[in-house]
Amino acid sequence: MRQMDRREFLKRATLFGGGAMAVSLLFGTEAGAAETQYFLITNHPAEDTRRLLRLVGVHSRTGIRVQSTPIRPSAQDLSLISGGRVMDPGRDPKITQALRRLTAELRNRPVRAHTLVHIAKEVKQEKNTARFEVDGHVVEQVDLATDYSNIVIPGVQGETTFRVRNGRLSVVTSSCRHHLCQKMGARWQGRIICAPNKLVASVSGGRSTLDGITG
Amino acid sequence: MANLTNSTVFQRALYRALLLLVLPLWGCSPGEQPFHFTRFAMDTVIEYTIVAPEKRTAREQMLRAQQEIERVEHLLGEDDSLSEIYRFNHSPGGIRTNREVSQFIRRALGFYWEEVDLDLTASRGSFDITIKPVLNLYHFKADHPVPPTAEQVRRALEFVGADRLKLAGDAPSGEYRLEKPDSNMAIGVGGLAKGYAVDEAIRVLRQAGVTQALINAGGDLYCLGSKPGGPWKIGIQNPVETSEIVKVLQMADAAVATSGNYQRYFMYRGRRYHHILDPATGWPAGRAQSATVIAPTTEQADAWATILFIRSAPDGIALLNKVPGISGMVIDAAGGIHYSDGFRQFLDPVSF
Repeated sequence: MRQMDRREFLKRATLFGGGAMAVSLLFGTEAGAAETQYFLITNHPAEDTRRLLRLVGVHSRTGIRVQSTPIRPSAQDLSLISGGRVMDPGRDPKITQALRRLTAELRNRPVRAHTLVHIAKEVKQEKNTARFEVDGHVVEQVDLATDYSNIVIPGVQGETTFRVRNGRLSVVTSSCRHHLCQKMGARWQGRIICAPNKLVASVSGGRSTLDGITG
Repeated sequence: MANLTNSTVFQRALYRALLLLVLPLWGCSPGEQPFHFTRFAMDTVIEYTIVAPEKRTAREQMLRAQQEIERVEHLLGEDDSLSEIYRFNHSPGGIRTNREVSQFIRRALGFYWEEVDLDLTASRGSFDITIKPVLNLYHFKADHPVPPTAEQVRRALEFVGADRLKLAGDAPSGEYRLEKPDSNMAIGVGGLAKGYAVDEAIRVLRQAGVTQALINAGGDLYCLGSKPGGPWKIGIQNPVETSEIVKVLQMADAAVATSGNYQRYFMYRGRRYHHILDPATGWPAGRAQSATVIAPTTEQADAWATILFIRSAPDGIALLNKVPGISGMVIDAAGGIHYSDGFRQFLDPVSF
């Protein structure tokens, strides 16, 4: 089996990064593009991630998303995307000495690694957005500042169509039988739930300080 | 020279000892944070908030809890042809069941009798799981539900009466029987099963060493411990404008549940028909918009919220004042808010 070479790694890293950037543009947060994301290929994912986070001055994992992906055996490496640009920490003069040392050490390891670790800022639900989850997975997120007439979310049973008007989210049509979600009306905060479709639309018109709602 | 070296060695040793002391503290406490998960079960959304050092741990715990909720769902689901409740409802005279179901039914009947015992004027209990034959007449799950006729309700009421159910069997024999005198009798445990499922899931989390968590099954929720930095904050939904909150509660190691006329209903010729029926009449109970109860277990909160909703204020409030450890709040038909003794202590200062 062919092993992932450095070029392929960078391509992959760009793909990851590109995806994240596309998402952040989609979410209307330009800040996403300016943030640095790290890609580690390592045979000691936990230890190297801890080391990397320490080196870049991150002391708490709050708000940080660390994702590990199994890959074909590849040379160990570190790469990063900053300001939308892929950087080689081995060469780039803007990279700190400590990071360069870590990169050199990784590249000198004779053992091939099976894990790609992606470290990026957690994508939190921004204020004034509606986020759609199907069975616990985020499938779409839209800005409430824009009026949308037709947001189609495929669920477990079928499609649910939402609309956003004046910052409020509501269900237009639903594939479920009882249309309880349609009865929930237009919301600027809280949730619209369609249980048959395992669909939750969370509306964040402002920061909620509540941990739960009874009713 | 030798002195200096000695002192350096000593300093190093001291630093090491200090590090060893400090590291474990640094390692465990700062990462404790709440993680949120959303899953579906029992026809509703289940929200899990689990406080853990990292998401992976929280996720493992959540999956444990979810598995337990699914187990209870299969055990008690009224529409699940393999469940004990379905088997009972479709049996001519009753079923042989297991200890867990037998105890669950015993507690359900207990709520019925507790109300009758506490209120000598009550001819019957408001929390009656045998209301099912009447509830079936409303076809709440149909596309265009139509209310039943008075005659239909009157006839179905003949099969209602928690006092007619019989639980037999005991632990030594290992045989538990749930019997009914008439094959048309049936039970609906929807008002209690969610609460029981939450309690069971919390029990599983506790056993796994979790000390801070919140499980919310469509408004029936339990707060295990508190969240980092203070009690859990729970909003009570406005029954009219359901996207708004009327009051905020501060809770720790307690359960809360709400019964409302806005949760499952249909409109027919300008009248609202909701799903909480008064077992005395067979019609939707009409004097409250919502009732919220705080109790030591979610099952208790569930049952007493139903009772409080049906009896409303002032009756229901007076009744609740006689039940130790349980307090409640009613929003009456006119929108007035009534509290039982002890409920105010849970109100968040911002919501007074």
